[in-house]
Amino acid sequence: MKTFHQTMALAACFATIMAIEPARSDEILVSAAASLTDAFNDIGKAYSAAHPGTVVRFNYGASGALQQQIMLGAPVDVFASASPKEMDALDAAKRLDPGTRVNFAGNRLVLIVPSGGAATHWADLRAPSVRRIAISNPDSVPSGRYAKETLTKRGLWTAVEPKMVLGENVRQTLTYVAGGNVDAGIVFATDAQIEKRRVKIVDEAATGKDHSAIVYPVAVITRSPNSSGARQFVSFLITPAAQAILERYGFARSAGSSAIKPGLSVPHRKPIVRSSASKR
Amino acid sequence: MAFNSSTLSPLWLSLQVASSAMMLIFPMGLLAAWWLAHGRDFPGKGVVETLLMLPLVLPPTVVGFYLLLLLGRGTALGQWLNDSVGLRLLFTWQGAAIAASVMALPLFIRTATAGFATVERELLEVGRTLGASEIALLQHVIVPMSYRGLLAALALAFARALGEFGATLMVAGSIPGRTQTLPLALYAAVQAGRDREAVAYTVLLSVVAFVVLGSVGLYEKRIAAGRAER
Repeated sequence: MKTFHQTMALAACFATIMAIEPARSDEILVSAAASLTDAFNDIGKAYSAAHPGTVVRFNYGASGALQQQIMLGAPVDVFASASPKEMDALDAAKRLDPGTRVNFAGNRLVLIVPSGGAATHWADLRAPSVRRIAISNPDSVPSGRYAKETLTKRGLWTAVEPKMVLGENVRQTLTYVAGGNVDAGIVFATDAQIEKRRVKIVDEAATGKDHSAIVYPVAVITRSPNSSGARQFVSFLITPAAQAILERYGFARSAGSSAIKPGLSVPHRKPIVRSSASKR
Repeated sequence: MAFNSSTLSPLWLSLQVASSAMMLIFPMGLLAAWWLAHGRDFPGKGVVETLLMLPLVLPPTVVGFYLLLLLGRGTALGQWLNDSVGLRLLFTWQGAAIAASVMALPLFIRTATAGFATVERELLEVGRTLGASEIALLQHVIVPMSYRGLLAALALAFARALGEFGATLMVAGSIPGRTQTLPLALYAAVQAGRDREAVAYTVLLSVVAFVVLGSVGLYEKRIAAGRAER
């Protein structure tokens, strides 16, 4: 019987553990594109330093997967996407807090090989020596979609499609290349920079010619559990301090301006964001 | 190795999720197991039994998708649960606990049924004819004879809940600090190429599995020894 009582005591402990509620009101949950991982980790620290007592949690993943989670009702405060498509879909579904959407960064798409890899430019992807190419899944990952656009524009897609290995987010694609498990890969320039020692950038896609401009929009999600914190975090992203961190990781300041829709473009120094989206 | 507060947070979360799952499973599983071991046969019992055991063989993603339909706003039932009942379980640790419960329930029922089967019906009937109350029977016959089996059931279900991946990913996502349990943290670490972290999680999960399985093995040996004595 002694063991039985011990079991009951253990069950009581479990009940106590269960009662601990991890979500707090001074927390901001940010769902962000995987390519933002390192920059946002730093920005989160800078934000917490400027707002003591506030914890910023990040949920990194493929922008498309994060969009789906929000559609299904994930309790997210802020969404930062690697492309406008996911944000547009959430906007159409009325999941964005009107007037909070803003473009805060830009990026470039590059062709990488494992250090010591043979390919040196886009056309080399046809070569038989390049047996496997990693891109991200174009259905749910922006970098994969831009990669497919680029390969299609360059007339390579049908030739290289059988060689494709699909990553579920851009960092997985990067890992495939860095580990030397594929012969080439297509990721954002900022991702390639993270694995400087193990991957080599050999070619770059031409923005506007190969693919549409790579713009990162961010917005507060409707029914955000911490909407005031969310708004503050979004405003923080366009402050010089946050922009400097993004720049350090290789992101462009608010992207190629020609591609930004009028009214959505962001003044760097103005603290709160005005956009056409607010006047629906 | 890479153990620090941020790599250990998935461990605490996993323990919280798996323990909560046990609280959900225990009452339900006990009733179901007792009924399967000692309940009266009726047409369709086999069907109910199969339904209860289904998560044992269904791909976890299938279970996850069912739960997504049930708990999300995609269906009328889910909408009602969310908006009228106010149940917001998707992408919360409570949602992860529900996913883990559904996946671990069959393992609990199975093992507990075997435990209850060691309680011979004749003994209970003898007890009743001698005037023992049902509570006395529970205290002096049923619990002493089956608690080892029940503990084994709990341990196995706990380990299964701790290792749940597929259904949890679909229902709770993989939100660090909120729903990213150990197996999900392992997957995220591998995806992102954080190898040291991945090794740490792998070792942790393997040790837990070994300890649980080892202790269940000990219980089973004791049960066997107990039978031999009789």
